[in-house]
Amino acid sequence: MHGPDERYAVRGDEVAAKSFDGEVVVVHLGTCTYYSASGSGADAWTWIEEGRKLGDVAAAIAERYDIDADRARRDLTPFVARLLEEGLIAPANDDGPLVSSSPSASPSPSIAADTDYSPPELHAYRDMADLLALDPPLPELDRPAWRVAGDDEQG
Amino acid sequence: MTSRDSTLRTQGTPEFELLLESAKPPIDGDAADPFGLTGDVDWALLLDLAVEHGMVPLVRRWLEDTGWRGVPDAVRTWLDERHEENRRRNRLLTIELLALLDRLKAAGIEAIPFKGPVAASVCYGDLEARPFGDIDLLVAPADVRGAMEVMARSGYAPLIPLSETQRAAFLRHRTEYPLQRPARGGIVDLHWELFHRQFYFPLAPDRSRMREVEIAGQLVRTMGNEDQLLMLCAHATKHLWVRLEWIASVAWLVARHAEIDWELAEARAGSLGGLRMLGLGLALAHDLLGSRPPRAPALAESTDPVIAKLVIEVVGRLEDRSAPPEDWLRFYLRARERRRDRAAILIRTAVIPTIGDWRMLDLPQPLTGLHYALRPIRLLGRGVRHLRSGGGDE
Repeated sequence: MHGPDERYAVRGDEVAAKSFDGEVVVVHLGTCTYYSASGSGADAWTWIEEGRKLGDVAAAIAERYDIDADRARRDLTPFVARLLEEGLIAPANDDGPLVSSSPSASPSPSIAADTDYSPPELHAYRDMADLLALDPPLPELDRPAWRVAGDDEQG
Repeated sequence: MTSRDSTLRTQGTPEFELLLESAKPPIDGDAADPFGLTGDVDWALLLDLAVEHGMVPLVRRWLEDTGWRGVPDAVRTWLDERHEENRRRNRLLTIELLALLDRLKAAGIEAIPFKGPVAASVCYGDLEARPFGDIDLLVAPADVRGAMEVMARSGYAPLIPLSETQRAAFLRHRTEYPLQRPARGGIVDLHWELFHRQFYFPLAPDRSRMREVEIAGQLVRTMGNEDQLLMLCAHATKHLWVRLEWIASVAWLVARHAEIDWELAEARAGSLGGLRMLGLGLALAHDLLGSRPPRAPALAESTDPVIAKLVIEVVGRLEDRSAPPEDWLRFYLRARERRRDRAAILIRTAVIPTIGDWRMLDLPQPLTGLHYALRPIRLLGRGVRHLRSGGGDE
């Protein structure tokens, strides 16, 4: 596991996150990639975003889900590695986060304490640009002129 | 709006009726299928209609609320997949919007979001109830360049390839500018007026009536309900009301916001020459979706015959899936009650250069005004070509 005293900060220049009904959605604005984490993953993200040390995050997960602390630490390691690999977080200074994230109104982790535990996972969706380009299909008149090859009187 | 006691009788294909039912704001939480609508439905047609009308989320929700009774598995799977895509798209755009608002605010620029996530939240109280594909922000004209600089620092680039000269002229003469990140995230339409100038509806948010709406746990400042209603009606008029979801938005806004100040809405619409557009939107919501009539004297008692004709025209087009008319200008003119507004629309359409005009000729800065002189000539040329090719009247 990354050191228990290590803290990380969300790369707020490129990354924004919000919580929707217990699911944390993280968007890498630079790559237009959509990440989703729920359950212990949503909790872990929220606590990492708050600037907690990894050891504290693992302990909090262990307490919330009533699991062994070693297991929580073991499971957290690949999750954090993935966040780093995807460029969503960066090591924070001792004095505080390197970059504060945009205010995410991060709710306190929203999953009930007795929720069944599963290791934190991050789901990535890399098809968002295509999704935005293709859908929703718009009536011809709704297409602004700059998306139409030729002239368009609609402005 | 004309006084009508009962809802309009439509031709009533099962698919269109089901579309209408799913567009209606719920009454007393009753989401049953009292008409047995799902019995004779051509599901492929229904899904086509739902896509065309921006109604996929509402149709799915309605079928889900009725227990998916009679719905083929393949249809349910398709709707679930679209629902998931819609949810991801809307959430991504919402996050992008909120991040952008924060950055603009940090730069001292107030940006007012409209349509998109705001309309979904204000009208339906649900980010996923309507599909949206871009982000619309309104800033004061004096803040446009500052906002563009903030956006450039955030990685956004203009979508319209214009020279510096063209861009300067564009900012002077147009009302919005689209930007996007290179990774092709959401397109952000940066507006400094709500509507393009040919449409001529100078609605600007009433600062004294601004409201906050909670979006993903964050309070966002946007226009008041009365302006929201006017904006929705004018926007749909601009696009000839070709989507049922635009009518649903009006109906849901009215149903969910009993606090709407109808006299104010009426006065605002009247002062801007938008009374007929407002009346049309409310009439469509009432006649098609059973929305309650407004408690505003002029709107409730209006016998404006043009509104009734426009309702019939719009509903006919919705039902028979006919293409929007090419003579959108005629619709614009009929949707306005004041002669001076109609004249302004005509004049502006004839002289204000379109993007095509800007692109056709990159004039040096001192000569950009010539675009206004060239516009009527270009229009005339198009008309002649159209007649020579055997086209009908435009």
